[in-house]
Amino acid sequence: MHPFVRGMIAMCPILLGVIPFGLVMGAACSTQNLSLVELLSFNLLVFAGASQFVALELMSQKAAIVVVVLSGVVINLRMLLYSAGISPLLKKASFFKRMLAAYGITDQAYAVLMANESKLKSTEVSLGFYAGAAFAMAACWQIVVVLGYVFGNFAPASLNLDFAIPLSFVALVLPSMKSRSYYLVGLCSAFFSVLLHGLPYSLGLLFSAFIALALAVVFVMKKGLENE
Amino acid sequence: MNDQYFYTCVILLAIGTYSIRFSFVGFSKKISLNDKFKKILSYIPAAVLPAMITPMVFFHKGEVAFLAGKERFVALVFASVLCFFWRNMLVSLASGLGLLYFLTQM
Repeated sequence: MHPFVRGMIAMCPILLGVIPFGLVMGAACSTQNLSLVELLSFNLLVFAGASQFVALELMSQKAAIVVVVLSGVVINLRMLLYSAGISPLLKKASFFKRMLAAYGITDQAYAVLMANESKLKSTEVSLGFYAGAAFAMAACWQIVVVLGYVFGNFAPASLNLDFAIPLSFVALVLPSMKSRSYYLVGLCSAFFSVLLHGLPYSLGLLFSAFIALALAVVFVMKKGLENE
Repeated sequence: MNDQYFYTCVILLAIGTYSIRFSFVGFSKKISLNDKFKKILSYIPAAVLPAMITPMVFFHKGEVAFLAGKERFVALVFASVLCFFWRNMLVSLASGLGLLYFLTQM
């Protein structure tokens, strides 16, 4: 099977959790009286779920532009790590392909790539797989946001579909845990995220991720390249 | 909100978020990655995803006392254990969503 199709298929179950968030995003844009053109430009140009929620909320309060932009950007800073993570796949890619690949970076696309890494035999296959996963994610998000804008949030609340997001993240993070040091990094990340949850603008997430990554750096520097 | 304010915010947000995404990808030809750096990159999911998972489970709908949202915590632990042995996305989703439905609706 073509790696692009494999990537799209691997993404499908994860999209279950994306649907309710997209619907809520679309419904929120409609509540703020955005026109369809404004909705599309906001979603296609920024394309950053959590950042968009915060930016929309701040814009509705007429917050200073610098506050809106900085909060939106800070929430998305973790993408810096994903950009570094996929960069080895793109060493030989054209400028245009790299621009597209960068646009497609999301938590889900990156995580699904890493979770399937061991099954992807070459850089070309990995890149095709990533492209399929990223395309499925982007297409689903844009369609669902428009549906939410037009019809409101119609996902039945009793099904708790938003809970599919943490569930899919668990299923994506487990295959990347190759030894005890990965579990320690994961626990560190979870612990600080609960501890720092009160910080504004998702700064707790950002700090937890970087503290956990610092621990990973210590492990790699101390233990070298063997797995334990 | 007026057009000028909205589009200024949107364009600056677009430039900001895209620059972050493009950063390493854009310069990947110039950066030579050594094995230690690649090894560190393999820790990124472990460093980022648990920090996203825990608030969604412990602080669901702003309930700071995390025991108030215990259904989600129980369902997540259950699904994680199954997923640990099965290593399967669908098992994790079906068991987690199923148990949460059972705990909240029954």
